Amino acid sequence: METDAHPDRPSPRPTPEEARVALRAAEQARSRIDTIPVPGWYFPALALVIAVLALGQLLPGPATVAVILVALAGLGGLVRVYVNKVGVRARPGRAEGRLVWPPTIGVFLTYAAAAVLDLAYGQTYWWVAAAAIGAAIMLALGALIRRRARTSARA
Amino acid sequence: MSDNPIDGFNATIHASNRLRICALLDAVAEAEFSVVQERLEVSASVLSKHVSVLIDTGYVQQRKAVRDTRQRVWLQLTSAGRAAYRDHVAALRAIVGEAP
Repeated sequence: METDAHPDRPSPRPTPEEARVALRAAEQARSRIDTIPVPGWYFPALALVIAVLALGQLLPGPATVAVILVALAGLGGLVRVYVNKVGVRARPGRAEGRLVWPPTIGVFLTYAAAAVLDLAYGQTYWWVAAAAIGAAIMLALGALIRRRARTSARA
Repeated sequence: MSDNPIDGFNATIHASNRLRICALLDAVAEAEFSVVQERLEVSASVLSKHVSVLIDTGYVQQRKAVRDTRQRVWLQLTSAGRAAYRDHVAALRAIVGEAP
């Protein structure tokens, strides 16, 4: 099937069988992205940063702001290191993106609930539970993504 | 553009390795040259040759960045390249007889 066809030089269209083979080759190439192994440190590090974001709320006002800023900077740095390490920047909306959104929303809702309980009832200890839940969600997501990569690599 | 999906057939993209390069790049925002090479199991020279064709036609663009003191090349489909690849896949599906 390999040709050096140029857009200015019309090339004959493939037969249905050739088109089927080409589609299969494209799908296989596409799925090779799913088999890239995720570094083992990535999701535990993410879980740590997520937990620090919640636990920082237990500190006095100015310290909380400092911890949030440091954690957010850490989050950005972590993602940058990950992208450089694996050599791929994901496209939002793709399968992994869809996989990431529900846990992200779960962490957000957990932290929002902890914030409400803190502000409305002064129950600051919920931040500890939120930190544990947020970290657990990240670790579970990591385990899920790593398992998917292993399964795809075997397929 | 025509309503007939088969008109989206693209001779430049259809070459086997170029189709695979476009398919892989369509799945990501951008990927490092060495990752594309490793995932597609092609030599650097073969990949470089096909990427050059795709760059010349405006379907792929490359970005150079330094990591660990080494220069890395990142590849990504342009919006024209992504559209052309998807039209091409739709054309192939139409040829096979699948609904796009």
